[in-house]
Amino acid sequence: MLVIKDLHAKVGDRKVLDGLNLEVPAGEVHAIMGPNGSGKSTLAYTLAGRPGYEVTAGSVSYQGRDLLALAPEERAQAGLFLGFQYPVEIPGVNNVYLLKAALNAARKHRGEAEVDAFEFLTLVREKMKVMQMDEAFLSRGVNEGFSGGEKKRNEILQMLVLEPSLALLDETDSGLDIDALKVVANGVNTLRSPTRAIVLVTHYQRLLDYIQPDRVHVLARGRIIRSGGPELARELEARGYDWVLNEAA
Amino acid sequence: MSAMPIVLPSNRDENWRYANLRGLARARFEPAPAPEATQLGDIAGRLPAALPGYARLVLVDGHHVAALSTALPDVNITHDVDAQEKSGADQRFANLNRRFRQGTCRIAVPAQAALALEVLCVATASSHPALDITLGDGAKLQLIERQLSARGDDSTLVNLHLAARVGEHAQFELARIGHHGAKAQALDTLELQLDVGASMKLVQVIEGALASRSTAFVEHVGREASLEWYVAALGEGTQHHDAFVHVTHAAPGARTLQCFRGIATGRSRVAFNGHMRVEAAALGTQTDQSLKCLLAGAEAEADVRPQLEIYTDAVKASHGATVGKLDADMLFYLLSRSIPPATAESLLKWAFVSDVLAKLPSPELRSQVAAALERQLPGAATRAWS
Amino acid sequence: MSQNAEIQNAEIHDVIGRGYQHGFVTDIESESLPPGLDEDVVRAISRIKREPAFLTEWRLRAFRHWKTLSEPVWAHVHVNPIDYQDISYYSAPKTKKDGPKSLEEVDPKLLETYEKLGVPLHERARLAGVAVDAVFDSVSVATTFKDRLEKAGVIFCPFSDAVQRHPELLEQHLGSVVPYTDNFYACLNSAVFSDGSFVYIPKGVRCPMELSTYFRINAAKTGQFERTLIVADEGSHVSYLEGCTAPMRDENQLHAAVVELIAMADAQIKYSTVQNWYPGDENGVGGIYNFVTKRGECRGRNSRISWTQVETGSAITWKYPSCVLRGDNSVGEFYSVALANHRQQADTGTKMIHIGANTRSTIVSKGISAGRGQNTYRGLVKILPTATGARNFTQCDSLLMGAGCGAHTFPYVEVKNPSATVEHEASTSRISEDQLFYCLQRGISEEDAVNMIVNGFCKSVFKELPMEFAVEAQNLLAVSLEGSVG
Repeated sequence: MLVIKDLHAKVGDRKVLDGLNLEVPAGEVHAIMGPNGSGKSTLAYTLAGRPGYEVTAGSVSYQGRDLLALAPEERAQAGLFLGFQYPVEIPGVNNVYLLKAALNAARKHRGEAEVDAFEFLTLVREKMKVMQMDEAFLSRGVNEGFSGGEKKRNEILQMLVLEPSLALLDETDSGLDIDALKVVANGVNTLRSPTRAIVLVTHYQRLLDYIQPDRVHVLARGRIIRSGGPELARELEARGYDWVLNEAA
Repeated sequence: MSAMPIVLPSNRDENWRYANLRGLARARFEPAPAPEATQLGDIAGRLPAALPGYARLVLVDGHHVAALSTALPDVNITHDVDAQEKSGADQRFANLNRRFRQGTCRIAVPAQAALALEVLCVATASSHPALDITLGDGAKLQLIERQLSARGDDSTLVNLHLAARVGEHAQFELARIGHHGAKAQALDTLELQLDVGASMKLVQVIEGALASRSTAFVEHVGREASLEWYVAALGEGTQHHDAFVHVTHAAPGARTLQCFRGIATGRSRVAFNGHMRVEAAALGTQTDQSLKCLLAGAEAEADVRPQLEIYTDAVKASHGATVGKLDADMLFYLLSRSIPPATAESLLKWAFVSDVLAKLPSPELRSQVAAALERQLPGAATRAWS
Repeated sequence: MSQNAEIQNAEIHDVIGRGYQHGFVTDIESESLPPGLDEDVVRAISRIKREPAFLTEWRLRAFRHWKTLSEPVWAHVHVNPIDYQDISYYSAPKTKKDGPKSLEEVDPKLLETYEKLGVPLHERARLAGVAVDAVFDSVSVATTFKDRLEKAGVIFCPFSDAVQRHPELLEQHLGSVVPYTDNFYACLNSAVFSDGSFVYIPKGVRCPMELSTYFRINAAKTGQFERTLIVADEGSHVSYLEGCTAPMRDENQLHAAVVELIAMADAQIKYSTVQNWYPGDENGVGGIYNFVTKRGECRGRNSRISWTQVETGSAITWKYPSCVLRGDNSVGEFYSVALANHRQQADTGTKMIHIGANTRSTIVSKGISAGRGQNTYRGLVKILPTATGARNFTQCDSLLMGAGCGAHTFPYVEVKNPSATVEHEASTSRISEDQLFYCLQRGISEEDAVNMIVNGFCKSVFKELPMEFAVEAQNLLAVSLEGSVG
């Protein structure tokens, strides 16, 4: 699904990724953990093609294609979804409208017909139930005036509707209370399938209590310094990041 | 003395719509002669207490008075007459200054040097003080410029011109206070240029004077210069205070923050016109204006114009302007805490202008200004600022 | 052809046929008055329209006053000089020879635009000026619903019909909001206005449908000077829509209309405009000069006038739909989207003049500058000493799309009553890169994303438009911004 080789990237003049290697096969859930400023969000943004995140060396293959050669919208159309750490507010643009435009862009890319309005609303309502979202959400602007928790639910809702092949969820657990965390985790779990991969970027182990990862990686100083099974996350939770950093240094 | 006709701007000139020019039509602009030595004792007695850490320069009716001033190597008084007149309505008072000035006070702070200086412009009749300021690269100047009326009936006229060039990465802090008499006319024109990375902060308190008008032109000449501009105007009786500030952003990465707080009581009128121009070359410029007026008199008036003129898309500019009365909820809150109405009102007015007053540079100056405002805002300073 | 138009044509032939002593070239073929302007032209227009003496005199007074005026000079607008003697001040309703004979002759770019706007095929032909039947089209709208309107007592007719049928109403109200002395273009309009519409809603009547007019300029070298007058009597309601379009021509054409609205006590007038006059080409050649004076007076207590405008066309737009809030508790509103792309210049805004007690006004202005377009908001909020308890809120935002464009905000806030509250907020910036990236990450193309964000930016104005206009307005924005992304 995703193969990252020796990835170097910088933001402005700041080098953030420094020879990162990572492989995420289809059907797996990987967690990327690491201290603040280690490059976790940069990795997510770089994979999604955010302007200003410049790849200086290395390669990224996604479903056998050169991901870095694609424009951001092409990556999305090809099934890469980024759940933003700070979802953007777009005043005046209706939530449902954005979602429908996004779904139709992906369908068009796959050579499928556009969904009709009724079909689409039925789909959205069904997913909203999973995310325990209020009907009023349908009439609001994209993340406009949403609380932190509502924004995160909205990200997962979008993911459920768009059904991506590869989901990168950047700090989706931050700012959530325990009930919201369960709802979000449940949403992510419903997406698990042998044909999909999910990458969870997180600072804490908390989310991993509800979404069992297949692999856990520690990202520090712009590269993966340790990988392991779910037990690695628990060890990090118990011992902090310092011991891995010291061992790697 | 020049016999050339005196041409004043009129309210039909776009940037002078809100200025009170009536009293000036008959005003005498010809400057008073240099003070006699015998007068100096009286004048010295009227000067405010010296501010610790600040050297002092005294101009009486635009004439430099060495006897009352600190001798400084960085300050020179020249009597050149090469000041070129400029065209346009906005330059008319500046041109009168150029015509009538009694020497130019040149303050040149060398590169990397620092100077703290208080300039007192004393007027006994008509005066045209002229300050020409240069900050070398990396220099730092803290300048306090104050105007005082020193005449029994207070009917003085001050028409100041201040030009400054702020060198690369130099820092210029300018505080301007008017302590005018009730019948005074106060006019000034500022022309400022900011070089690469320069920063300038102006804090101006306008009170006193029957009519005042400030005209300022600031230009971000070098990249990444920053400008902060704080003005408070307090009008009472039939006073009329008008300020116009035109900021040109001509280089990339410029920053300008502008904050105006005006209070008009009685039949007074306060006006502020802030014009931000962002040229095509000024990529990445950010500007913000916050202009607020409080009307606290049955016939008080306020006029505000936050203007944006933008010729590039790489810019973030915002402004907010409000005109209104004292917040009834706040007032009630204070009354419910058993504060008498007059004090409560005074406190809220103080709070309203404190966005500006708090930026005044020295604690001693702040308390002198607070004392000067005691009549307009009784009891407020001591409670809010002790 | 309507009977009225036929009569008018006959009149022109008659007038022209007699020949003018003052340098008129007799040109029967053109079916319009030859270019030029003097008192005889003013009289001729009035005679063609068989106007009563008071109107002829009013026109002449306006013309004499106009001769004393000079064109305004605007700091931020570049205007090619206008030769007022090179304009024809009356163009007959039938000018088939001028227009293209069939759709094949129409500029394909224009047709493409109509296609995108979803204008029906027969409409496209009409808008493109193929089958020209009347300069002014409200007649057909009016006839369709004539019965229902008549039953309600609503008068909605071409201005020239109103001159014949309701001269007393015109004499009472014409020029009472915009006097001919108001400004250069309003004065010119008063002297030479050709037609327009007249609306009268009787006391207590809620107009049973939206009234609409589609304006267009067809003939070359013709100025268009419509005059619209809407009177809403006590307790009445009306919503009026105005659409504008013009075929492409490479010279500038002048459009100098005047709109007057009068709202009596408890009356409400909602006036919506979607203006898409030809903006000129990418290099600024051609396009309409849209110099329009629009003003409403809330004359009675509790009255309300609401202006909504979407201005995407014209080479230069200069208009400030304003409200004089005379009645106590009256309300004025101004919602505007103005777009300036390529070399367009839009200078628009409003004046809210608060005279009555507890008057309220709201201003929402959204400016979009793209290409080398220059967009200016110019607005005055004036609270007079009598306007105790007056309130205004102004929100004024600009969106920039292109290194060469300009966005200017020139508000005037003048408050002479201490009990008033005035708030003004404005922001100017590019489309947020974060918003754009968010949309791209959801797989939406850049062009669609920009349209989406721009429409969102304008939403608070669009929601004030009647439904079908709102859709047209959104499409219009998308079309007008084409090619300015990236």
